[in-house]
Formats: sequence, structure tokens, C-alpha cells
Amino acid sequence: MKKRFPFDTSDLKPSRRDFMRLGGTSLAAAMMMRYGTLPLLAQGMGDIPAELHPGSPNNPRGWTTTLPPIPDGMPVDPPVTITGSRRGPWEFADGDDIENSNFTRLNAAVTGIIWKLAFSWTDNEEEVLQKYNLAIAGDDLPDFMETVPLQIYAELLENDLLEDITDVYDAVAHPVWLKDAWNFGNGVAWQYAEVNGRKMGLPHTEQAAQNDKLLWIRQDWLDAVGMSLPTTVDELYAVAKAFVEADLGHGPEGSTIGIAAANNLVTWYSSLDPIFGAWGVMPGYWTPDESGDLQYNSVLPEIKEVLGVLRQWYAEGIFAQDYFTLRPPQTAFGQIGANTCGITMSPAFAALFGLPDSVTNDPSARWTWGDIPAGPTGIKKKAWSNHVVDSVFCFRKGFEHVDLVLKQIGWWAELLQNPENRYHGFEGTDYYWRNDDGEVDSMGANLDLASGYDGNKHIWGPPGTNGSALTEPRFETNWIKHRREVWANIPEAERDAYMDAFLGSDELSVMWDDANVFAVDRWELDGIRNHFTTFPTRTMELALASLNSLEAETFVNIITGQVSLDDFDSFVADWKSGGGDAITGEVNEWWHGQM
Amino acid sequence: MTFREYLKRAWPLYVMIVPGVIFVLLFRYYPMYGIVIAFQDYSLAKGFLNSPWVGWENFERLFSFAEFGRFLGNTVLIAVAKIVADQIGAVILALLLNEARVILFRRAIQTLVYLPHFLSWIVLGGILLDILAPYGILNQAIVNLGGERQLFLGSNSWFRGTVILSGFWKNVGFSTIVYLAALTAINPTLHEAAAIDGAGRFRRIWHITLPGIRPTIVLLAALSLGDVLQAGFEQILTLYSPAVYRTGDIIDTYVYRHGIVSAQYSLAGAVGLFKSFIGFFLIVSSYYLADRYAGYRIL
Repeated sequence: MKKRFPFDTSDLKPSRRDFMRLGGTSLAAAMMMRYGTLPLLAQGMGDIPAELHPGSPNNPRGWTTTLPPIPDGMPVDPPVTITGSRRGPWEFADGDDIENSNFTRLNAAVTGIIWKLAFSWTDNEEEVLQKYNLAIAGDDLPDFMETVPLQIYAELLENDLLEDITDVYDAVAHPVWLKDAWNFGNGVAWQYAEVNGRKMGLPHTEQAAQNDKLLWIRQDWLDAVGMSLPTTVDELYAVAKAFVEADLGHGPEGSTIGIAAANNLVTWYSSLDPIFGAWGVMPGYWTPDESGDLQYNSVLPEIKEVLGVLRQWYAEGIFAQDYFTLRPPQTAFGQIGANTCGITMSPAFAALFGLPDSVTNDPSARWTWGDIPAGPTGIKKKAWSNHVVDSVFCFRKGFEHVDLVLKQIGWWAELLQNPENRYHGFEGTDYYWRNDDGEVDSMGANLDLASGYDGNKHIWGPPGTNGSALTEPRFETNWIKHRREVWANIPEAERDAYMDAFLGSDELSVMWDDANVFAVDRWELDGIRNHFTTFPTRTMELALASLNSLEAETFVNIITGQVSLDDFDSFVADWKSGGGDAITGEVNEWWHGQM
Repeated sequence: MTFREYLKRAWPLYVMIVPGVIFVLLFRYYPMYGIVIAFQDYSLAKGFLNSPWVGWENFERLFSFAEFGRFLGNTVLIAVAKIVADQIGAVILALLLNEARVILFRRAIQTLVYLPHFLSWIVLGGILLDILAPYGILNQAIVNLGGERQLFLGSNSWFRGTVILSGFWKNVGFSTIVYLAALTAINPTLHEAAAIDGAGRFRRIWHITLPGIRPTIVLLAALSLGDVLQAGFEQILTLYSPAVYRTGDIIDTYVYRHGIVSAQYSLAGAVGLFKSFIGFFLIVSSYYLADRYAGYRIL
């Protein structure tokens, strides 16, 4: 199963940091006079009352948010009430709640839809299952179901409890912000939501390349050992070895770690997937072989080679002695943040997760990043992070207003995701105006809407879902490019407070932007994709836990030297006889049936 | 006294136990009906009534897992060691606390030792991972005393010991409470008489205190036998890693990993029933033993 990023990713966006840095922006009184009396602009939305608009047009150096055109036939009259489930947590000020907030008020004015909360959850691992299970068992499904986990989705499909939305979708879905966005990458977004060619729900997609790895390395340590940014696995090993031997870390004597690694070899932070990728394989993934069949990578001979390399590295102290007991955040804070380790293969967001702690704990720490290293034959690959989450937005069987919900979702997707709309949420809900100088600040951990979409948890539908759902996978990089290409050209004196909030970032934030753009550019080129993207097969249900345990146990014992490298061969034999061959057959049956 | 007279006098007592009986029936017996899912291929949407029956298939699957012997062995070994350590440790600790003269000291120690009981394993696990890390405080102490660094959580020779000791640390304080309560029930005149006869502290503990709490010891030991398949799921899930599957994987963690693949309610139901059945059998036999050797019986 794909490892989910377990945190609310709104913590990782630039917004709050950027805002907190805004302390000293000063402004001439003349500017205040000039912008202080901006008329309320309705931007061709005459029937939407000005007080419902997002944006801050009436503040000094304020800005106006452009609202997309109202969808055909909306707002519906009389209003329609629709029930939906939500993922929390949320927080509202001054008597507002999830059913009555800036979002729902604007939404009601635009679409005529009144949302009622059926149920909600905050724990997305277990509580979400309980809530949906209860709704199924009680025969009380809401009209619209947010991020239904795959196993619940399968249950709903099997019992014919979901509305087939194919025809309505074709007719009313927004051509750009839903249809084009979800067709990105040959429509891979629909891998779960489409069943036998019929759309049984809407995809749950995230930012592209969100977990794609880059090489993050301490520049000051490189300088200290007189080496440069490694580009191959061999160079990476040499640098790591040099760091360990020079004992550059801040821990007790001899505790410097060469390369950060975690309990899973392929994971979302401090991953070793680029090392496997350098040999063109990815443990746990299914990829096509020359004949077009899917093969399970973990049993390939290349894996043995990589394990041999990692085994040698472990013996030489490149990895922490107990790396296999550490979860990824523990490497981020306990190793990278604590400055006992100077190399991690982590996503772009490392610049905001782990690295800031490193710099806080050691102000002399200088980080740099580069592409992942190439292998002995020049291969350079990494685990492709799927931007499609294994959950689906579903509609109850027999629900009559699918068209209205789709129109609403399209409207919000355009509002939130088109950088030109200059959407920054609602003043007093998402950010507040701090003083007459036009400084804006976010309002707290749960209300972080600053980067445009990820905190928009407060309206029903994919771009509003808690946990960074959006429809356009390149939203984040579009937004960075827009800032750099359009805003940066505006003379400083003419910038409004919104622009100020995002231009002129600190070193790590700039690095995050650069790394993010780079990762998205390389996303399709360097990614090894897991081609098995459906429900577990029958034999998997019976045998996969045993096989996975065997694999994990064998790999860690080989790397730590508890068993010999040749134990890999008996693992392969056991894997095949213990159900692996049967699983391979079933997987290929599905795979060839796909095409 | 006729039955009628008895009822006339005692009916309020019967009325008073009615809510308790209803509670037990409603929340302890009625849900047992859910046991049927262990014999079904249970689907939530179909419910208890319409899910297809599969007989013993779930149990056959449980017993046919390649690692069945290994995880059952680990489960029993860890659970039994924990029960023994917990019982013995609790008795010793209770005796020590009972002999402490300064009340304030006794209270303080008692509070300190049962504090970990109120923390969840997720929290304690995080603390333990830090303490037991290769460069953690314990290993630093060992190295400073001239020893070698040990992987307490990552090596098969240490893992069970770490689990048993950390479980002991968390639970022993709470188990002690019952013994302390039992100790207060011992008549102080016995102690005074023994002291006059010239018995020292250890004599008095041996001849008065221990026999005084013997029924409690036997009862708690008997009851804890029912836990012989409860090795501590949350604890092991927090502390283990693939490197220690050989010595640390228990029934619950194995089934948990299995359940992640797909929603396996029926298999989990079968595991629960299997564990309850073994536990029930052990409790019945230990009750028999308790009756025979400690004179303890319910009716």
C-alpha cells in the first residue's frame, strides 16, 4: 500500500512562514491615501453582494479577488439542500460553523446550494472507516461523500449504493478546471473513480511530484571536506563516507550518520528509493518487463545488487545503526534537524520540514539540493509519487443533484486554482489585516489558506477538502511561476499587500520553490511508476501479509548483516512458492485485461 | 422464613441489581451475537443476517499462516513472562511500600510507579525509542561504564526483554494497588502479637503478611491466566520493526498487518474468538485450581 503523508500538508506550505516574516514592511502614507479608498468592485458579479466577496479591496494596498462567471442556471431557485460528509478539523470565528461560513454564504449566493453536514471525522486512518461503516450499516448515506477510503468504496460499489455520474459529468463538468485537470497524465486521475469505463465518483488528486525525492545535502559540510555535490551513487557514497569519517555531526563523538534512512526503504522522507532507482528497480512496485508482463521488482536480481551495496554501506557506518526502527519524521527531526546527518533523499518540502530545524539548531548550517544520483550504468530513477490518492468523492445512488454539485466544484476549482483570480481566502477567516501598513497575517494553524488552496477546507468538493485535495496537479508550480514571472515584474512600489506576502522569501523558501518546480519538471521523466493500481487480488488477501513480512525481514537482515546476501535467493524462492507466482498471474490477468 | 416473607424483605435489593444485570446483558452478552462474523465472509453492507456463511474457513486461514507457530510462540512467551513479572513484581513492591514508615514517601513512590499506567503506548513508545536509541541515554551510560552499545529494539536477542521490562514498568504500579488494599485488611493485632513473640520484620512478612494476602495473589494470578494470549498489541506495534519479527511478532500485530491489505473483519473476528476461547478455558481451569488450593470460590 502506498504510504500516505501523515500530516496535514498545510503545515508545509510557504504561507505561514512567509507571513510571519512580514514584520517590517513599511508603507508611505501616500500609498494609504491612494489605495485606502478603493471602490467596492463587484467584477461583473452584480448579484453577489460585496460583503460575500473574498479579498480585501477596501484596505490600504488591498486587492480584489476575481470571481469566475456564475455557472449556467445558477443560483438555483428555490435553493437546494444537500447533505455531505466532511473531514475535519476546522475552526471558525464568531459564531460561524461548517454549515454557515464565508464559504457557504458565498457558495449559496453563487450556486443556490445549502450544505448540511451529515457527519465528520478528523482521524483519517480509523475514524473515517468507522463513520462510513456506520453510515452503510445504518443505511443512511449522505448525498455527497468526501474522500471515501478505497475499502469502503469497494463495499459501496459491490452493493450498488453509488450513483453513476458519467453522463452528468460529460455534460456539465468544467472543461478546464475539472476535465482538463483530471485528464492530465492520460487520465491517470481516474484510476479508482472510474470502474469499467463508468465514472462512479470524482478523483482525489494532490499536487504532482509531492513526494518525489531530491538530494538534500549540507553545503557547509561539503566545503569542510572539500568535495562537491555528488551526481552518481559512487560519489554520494564517497561524500557520505567523508562526512562520517570527519565526524561533522553535532551528536556524541562518532555518531555522525552518512545518509538518513528510515524503517521503509521506499518512503516519503529520508528514502532510499533513488538508490534502487539507480539500478532501474523499485522494491514493492510492479513494472512491465520486455514482454509487457508486470513483474514484481522486489525479487529481481538488481535488488540483490542494491542490497549488497546498502549492506556494505551499513557495515561502514553510512546509515544509523538503528535506521530500521525510525519513522520518517524521526529522521527529519532527530537526524537532519539535530544536525547529526548531512544527507537525505527527501521531497522538495524538506526545505520546510526538517531543514528549518537544522538551521535553527545550528545557524551556520547551509543546505543545498541537487538531482538524485545516477547509478553505475547511468540510470537515474526514483519512485514516482502518485498524485492520485486512494480515496474517491462519491454520490449516493439516486441523488438527483449531481449536476449542481459538479457545477459548484468547477466554479470553486477555477476560483481557487487560477492564480490570476488572486484568491487568498476571506479576511477575518483565513488571514487578517494587521495594521494600516497593509500587513496581512494568517490566523492560526487550522486556518492556513495563504497559498491559495490547501487550507480551503471549508466548502464541499475536491478543492475544498481537508488534506490538500485539488483538481490541477500542477497548481503549486503554476502558482510559483505566476509569482516569479508576473508579480516579480511589478515595481515594488506598485505591489499590493498580497504580493508583498509572497515575494522576497528567505533562503529555504526560495529553495523549496526551486526544488518544487524542478521535481515537477522531472516527474514524468525520472519516476518509476507502480503499475498495479487496483484492489488487492484474491491471493494477495490471503498471502500478501506473509510475503510482505518475509520481504521486509529479509531485506533488513541482509542490510544489517544478520544473514548472508545469498539469503536473497532463498527469499525469492519462498516468495514464489508462498503465493508470489499466483499473485503474479492474477496481477497480469488484471493488467492485460486493462489494455 | 417463607419465600414470600423473604421476598417482602429483600425485594429492594433485587431491584437494585436490575440495572447492573441489564447493563451486563446489553453490553456484554448481546454483542456476543457479533461472533457470527467469525464464521462468515462478513460484509458491512450485507450485515450479520445476509453475509455468506463460510464455516471454519477463517480459522483454517489463521492456523495455516506460514508463521503461525512463530507468532503464537512469541505471543505466549511474551504474555507469560509479562504475567509472571507483573505478579511477582507487584507483590514485592506492595510489601516494600507497606513496610515504608514515612507515609509521604510511600504515597510519593506509589504515585510515581503507577504514573506510566496512564500514558498511552504511543507516548511511552516515543520516550523509549529515545532512551534506547544507539546514542540514547541508556547506551551512553553503558558506554561510559565501559560496555558496548546495544540495539535494544533492533536485535532479536534484546527485543523480548525490552518488551517485557517496559511492559513491567508501565503496569506494575497499577497491579500493586490491589495488593496494597489487601494488605490493609490484615488485622494489625496479629503483627503486634508476633512482634511481642520476638518475630522480626522478615518473619512477620513470611508468616503473617504473605498468608494474609494469599487468596488475593492466587485470585489475581488465576484471573491473569486469561490474558495468556494478550502480549500487548499497542506496545509491540509501537516498538517493533521487521528486524525483530522473529522474536517480536505476535498474533495481533500479524493480523493487523494482514488486515491492512483489505478489510478483514471476519479474520479479526476469528482471531478474537480463538483468543477468547483459549482464555476462557484457562480461566475455568485456574478457577478450579484457585478453589482447590486457595479455597477461593465465587458461590
